[in-house]
Amino acid sequence: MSGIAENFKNGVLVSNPVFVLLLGLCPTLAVSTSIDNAIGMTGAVLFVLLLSNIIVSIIRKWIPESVRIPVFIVIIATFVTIVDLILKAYFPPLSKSLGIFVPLIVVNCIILGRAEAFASKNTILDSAADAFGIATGFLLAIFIISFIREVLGSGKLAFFGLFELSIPGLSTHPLSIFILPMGAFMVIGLLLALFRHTGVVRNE
Amino acid sequence: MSEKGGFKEIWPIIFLGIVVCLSVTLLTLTGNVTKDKIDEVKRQEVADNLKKIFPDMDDYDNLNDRDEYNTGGVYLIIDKDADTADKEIGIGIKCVGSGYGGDIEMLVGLSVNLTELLKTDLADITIKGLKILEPISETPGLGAKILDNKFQGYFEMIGFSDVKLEEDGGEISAITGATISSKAVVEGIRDTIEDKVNDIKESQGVKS
Repeated sequence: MSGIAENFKNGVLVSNPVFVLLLGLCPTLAVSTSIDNAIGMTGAVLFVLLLSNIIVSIIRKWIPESVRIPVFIVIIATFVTIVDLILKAYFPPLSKSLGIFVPLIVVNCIILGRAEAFASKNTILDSAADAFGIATGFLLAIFIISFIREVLGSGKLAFFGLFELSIPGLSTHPLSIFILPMGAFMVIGLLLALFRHTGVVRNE
Repeated sequence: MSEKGGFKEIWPIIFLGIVVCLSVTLLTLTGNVTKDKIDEVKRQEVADNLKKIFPDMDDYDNLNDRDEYNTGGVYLIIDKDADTADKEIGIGIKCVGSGYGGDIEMLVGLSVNLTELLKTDLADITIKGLKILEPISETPGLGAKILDNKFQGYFEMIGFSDVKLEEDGGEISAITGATISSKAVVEGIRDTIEDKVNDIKESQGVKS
């Protein structure tokens, strides 16, 4: 049991996909303009990561070495397409704002990286725990970034229409630069520097 | 080559083949389950946006569903309470302009129905309204202001020949600092409508 908890913790802290491994930066930077997008993206990533980790772990003993990468890609692409179709059918607004970044999960290094580095060598339970850990780590990272960008860049805080909070002063004069791509780079760069300096995450 | 060696050589191909077959099966199933829902969502979205231009709209038809036409992105607006025989009160046309950050998709309403359109000169057609489709990838605070009601309001009940920026002798004031986006909207509307209306007229043998 402690092994599973350990794997989960590793995913969040020791090998946090964004802040330590620096993987999956493309969707992280692109969809972190609002908290809604960040959570929707994490949901899609978790679904794909969890199922592809489990399937890869199940078939790990039979995968021929020479075709393992194509097999991983086919498995990942299948689940990504399913997520994309489900989002389009049942969550059209979310699907629209995530746009191209849902199909792009296929080439997200986090998922292929975990299939290759972890799921193809570990048991189903451990692989599932790893998927949850990595997805939580991803959520943590993208949530912090999108929180900062949404507050500074659009001057409000909203959560799936459940509540919306306007921040006095910022909502009338938002710092639009934080919504733009360069704002994303600034935020993630400063966060990385901060985390390295304080030693919250360590690359060992 | 021994039989076992032969199998070992083709096993990766067979394995990959099996994975692909399973994947295709799974995707076909998901596709079948979600297809109707996705079509419905798309239709609903078009209807919602058209309704913002034509508040009286009850339903719409796709022009290319009618036998003799094959121009896509043209919607015939139907109002069941209209006086005319065909109950059509206008036409919606999907237009695309190339903005600063990518394509800008818009719906433009014409206040003529199909029968009138075939008889009317393009320059005499009145535009009923404009709805720019979100999301757009224009710069927030600058180009994204094309979404403001003030800007989209310029396109309400305006003659087709006046759909030009003021600097070009038209009636549309460009947004300060966002000339490219403003121009993209205007030109997207002009070019697309010209193309599509000519297409429709040609398919009916009307000289434009």
